[in-house]
Amino acid sequence: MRHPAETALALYAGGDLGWWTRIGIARHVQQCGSCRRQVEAFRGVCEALQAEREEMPPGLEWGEAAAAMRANIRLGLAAGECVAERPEPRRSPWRPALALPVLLVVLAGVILESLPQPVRRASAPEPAGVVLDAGPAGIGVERNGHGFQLLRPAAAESVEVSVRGDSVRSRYVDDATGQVTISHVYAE
Amino acid sequence: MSSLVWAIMNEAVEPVLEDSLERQNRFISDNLRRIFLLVYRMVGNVADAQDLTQEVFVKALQRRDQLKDEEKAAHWLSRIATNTAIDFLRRHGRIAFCELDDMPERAGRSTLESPEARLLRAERQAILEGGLETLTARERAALLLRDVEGLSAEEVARHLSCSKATVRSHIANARVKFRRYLSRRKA
Repeated sequence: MRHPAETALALYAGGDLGWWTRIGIARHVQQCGSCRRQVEAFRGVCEALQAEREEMPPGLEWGEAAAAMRANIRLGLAAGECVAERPEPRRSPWRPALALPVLLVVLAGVILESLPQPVRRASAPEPAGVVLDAGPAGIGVERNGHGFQLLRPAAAESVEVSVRGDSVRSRYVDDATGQVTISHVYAE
Repeated sequence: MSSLVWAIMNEAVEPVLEDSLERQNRFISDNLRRIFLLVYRMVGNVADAQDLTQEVFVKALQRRDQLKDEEKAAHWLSRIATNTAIDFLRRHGRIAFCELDDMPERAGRSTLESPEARLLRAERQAILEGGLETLTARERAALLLRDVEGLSAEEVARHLSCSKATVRSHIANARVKFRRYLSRRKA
């Protein structure tokens, strides 16, 4: 008598064979005690696995473990949202066309900045006609050709001059004595 | 003005968020035990099974839009769980079933069981885990999905992204190995 392969019996036991093969093996198993015992053993394997379906690992307190897992899942989701990639804004098709003029303007600015500027002038917006002067020699104010200037002290080594709105400020530090002189000129 | 707008927005957004959170919690509660057990049977270790189960749910819930159909979602979740466990086993190249003596004794179910019943249960589980240990990762996955989860061979094939013939071969080999293991133990 020719016996079916062991793997075929294993599939037959679990109902995993096609209709035609199943009929052939069923007929053989009815007549063959050895194969019948093998099929029963395979069914035992399936049943043992199914019986353990709901069995928790020994010693595991499911309630505690489930609560810990739930908390970690929520934590994982929250962390994922924090690091999620933001959608990239749509690129305008005309953006590359703007690049060249912007580059030219920046280049022109750099060239102008590098030219020698003996005195920086800043004109205050209010009142009209008043000009604030700030330069290496000192700071001052001028209107219609008349004005005054606060000269830089001869001993001052460190100089800071800033223009802000309608005022100009200078800060001189005498390196020898450490004396600091701060002057403000406001246009009113 | 801004507080008025905020109040109106709150009213519109909160029920949606609440509903979404509630659905998320229900999804976790409905599937947590099943997925944990599936992963545990695959990797054979409680600590790894807990980590991987969490990973499975985070992966699934980050793609919430695919969870509209609850029945499909459960299958999809099993699939993620199986693949995550197989990847884990490939990376680690081992199965690490805990020794029964190493498991912490805790209160709860164990106190309701007689010592004999507890011993028998532990022995049954040790046999099952020993049998699963003799299988490859894919054989184990195929056997668990077919005989424990009760999926058809076609569904197992979809889960494992392979052909039905390959799945049948995995299932048959797994049952043969498992039966030989049981015979050796009896002998």
